[in-house]
Amino acid sequence: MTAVPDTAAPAATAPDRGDTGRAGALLAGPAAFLLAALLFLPSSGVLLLSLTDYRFGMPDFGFAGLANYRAMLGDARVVNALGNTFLYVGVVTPLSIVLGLILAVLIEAQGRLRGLLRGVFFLPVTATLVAMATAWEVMLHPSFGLVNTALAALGFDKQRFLTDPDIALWSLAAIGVWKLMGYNVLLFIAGMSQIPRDLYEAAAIDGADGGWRRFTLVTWPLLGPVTLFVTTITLIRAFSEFETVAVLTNGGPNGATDMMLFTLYEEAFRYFDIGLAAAIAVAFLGFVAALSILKVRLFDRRVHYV
Amino acid sequence: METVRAGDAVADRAAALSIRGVTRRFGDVAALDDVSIDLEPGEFMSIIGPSGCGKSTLLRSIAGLEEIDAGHILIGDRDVRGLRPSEREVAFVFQSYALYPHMTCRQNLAAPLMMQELSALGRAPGLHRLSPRARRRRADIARRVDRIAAQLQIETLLDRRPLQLSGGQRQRVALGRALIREPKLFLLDEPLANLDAALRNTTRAELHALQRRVGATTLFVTHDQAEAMAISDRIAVMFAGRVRQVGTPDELYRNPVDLDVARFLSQPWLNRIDAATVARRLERGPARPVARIRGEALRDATGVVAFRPEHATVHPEEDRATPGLRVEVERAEHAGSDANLFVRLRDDGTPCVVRIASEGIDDWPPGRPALMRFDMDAAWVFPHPDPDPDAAASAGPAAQVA
Repeated sequence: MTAVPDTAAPAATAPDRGDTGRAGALLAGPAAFLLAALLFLPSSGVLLLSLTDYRFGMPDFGFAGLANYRAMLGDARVVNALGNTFLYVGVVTPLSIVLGLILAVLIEAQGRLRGLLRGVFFLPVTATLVAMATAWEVMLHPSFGLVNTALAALGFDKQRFLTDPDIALWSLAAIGVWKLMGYNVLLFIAGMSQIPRDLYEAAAIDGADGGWRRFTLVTWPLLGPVTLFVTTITLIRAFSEFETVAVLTNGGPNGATDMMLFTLYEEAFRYFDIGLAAAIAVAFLGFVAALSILKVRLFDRRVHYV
Repeated sequence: METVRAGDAVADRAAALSIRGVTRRFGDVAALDDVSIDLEPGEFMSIIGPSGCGKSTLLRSIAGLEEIDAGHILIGDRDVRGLRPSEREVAFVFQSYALYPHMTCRQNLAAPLMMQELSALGRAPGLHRLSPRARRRRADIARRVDRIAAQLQIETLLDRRPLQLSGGQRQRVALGRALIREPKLFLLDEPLANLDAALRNTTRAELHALQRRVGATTLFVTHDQAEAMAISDRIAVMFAGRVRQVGTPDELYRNPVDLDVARFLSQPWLNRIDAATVARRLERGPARPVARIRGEALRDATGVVAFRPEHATVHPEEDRATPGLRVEVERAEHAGSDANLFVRLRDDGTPCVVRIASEGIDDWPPGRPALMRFDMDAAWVFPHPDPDPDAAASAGPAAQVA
């Protein structure tokens, strides 16, 4: 923002510099204020709280240094939640991206049903997640759920999808894939519509007029920027999974589906350990920031081909 | 597939092109209406016509990017209808160049060869080392890329990506990618349209020289008649999906078959005056000479007299030795060595243009009355383009050049 007056005003109009600067500041003001009020201030607050022993409802609190961070790393529950989160992210991110891409390519190759299919796959994004989670609960019900009925009809054993410690996290991961995939499909479709048609025509003349050849020569490389964006946003959204845990499993059975944001929530609003919760929040913020920086610094230049 | 090596052997590969009765409809509109054109092997033909006349559609149909509803397209003696674009042995240069943005120029040049001459294994980065044959082919492709780059003088650009290049450089890479396959037929869709004016003139000369050297039969689509006149062996003029005339630049310039063709090849526009008006004015004076256009008496003709600005002259009003058309000067436009003098006929207000030397521009201030004469042997009489001649005459310059 500070660069605006520098570049906009040539040296010859030096008296105007101040005016341009003031106008720039004025224009940027509302956005800057909102950013500060809604993002920077609360984040700094959380950062400060993570260095205290504040507990919800207590009249005063003291400086605790890095004790909360030490406690966080030593806390079996946090470590378990962290492991679950990484596993969840590691499964959900690649699957929802690859499936999203495949579906997007297939839908775009489709003629008449294109609009309907886009709608169907985008539905999870528009629907209220808590309502959707409840729908999944019914679907996955151990005795009369649709999935188990289907399994039984096919001769398999019924599964306790949300209460079996070996399966619960995978069930949530499947729901996560379903949820994130639709968004990714839409982003990939938007990305494909940006690919110039004459590139496909040049490819056809060069001998890549369909299928895998065309995909590798034109579609996939030109989806680079979109894929990078999709990857970043999917990673962040998978990291911040909360609703399905809260509605479907409450982190159970026995911590099998406990994840980072759910732990944070519980530490803060069930055990009122604000200091520890703030430390988790800071760690979470760190992950997300690291991902974003990685995206901008390392990969942006590689996919924009300039 | 063994490829022809020597540069001059390519000329032998140049194929004749025969377009026979090709029709293409989009809904009710015929983008191509029974188009037939024949090209000799090695010939350079331009297709010109106003926007939407079907010239690009024709080119794309030949390449196989567009389907045709009727007719046949023969490249050499092979009917290519129904063949895939890559099987037609044609090269296509797009107006946008359509270079793959994620690839270096080297990879762009190699892309057609990689796609056509290597298996999936051979194309896979790294994996090709496993197969001696793929290794040999890749080495051969690399040699051919170097050779075409040398030919187009783009060796120094090979490791850059298209977005890092200027328009002219991209255009060369696009040409290289087309030429590297040593195609039988070379299709160019307004390849110079995105270049600035100065570059366009030098590039078109280079393009012409390159085509002569390579010898490939070439079809060149442009909306710029000067460009087509400058570099073509023959030109096909299209209007509304139909070919109106095919001929050498000179034939087209001297003997256009109709008003549209004549109009399209005139800068800034073609003068058109009702034949009766011209006859009335020119057969005046003491001698009452019979005005003849190309030997035919004008008084017997019906339609419009058409002549180009360069075949018209203006004279002071007092100069009545020979008859002329009475006009009034409206304005002048400087065009370098020449100037275009815009005048209006006293009789019926028909706008006309006269090409004068730019030194004379000050002699003809707006409002000055004058006499306009034109070379009767360089004029034509065409039937009225419109059932209502008055409407056509008053259509004005904008409608005439469109």
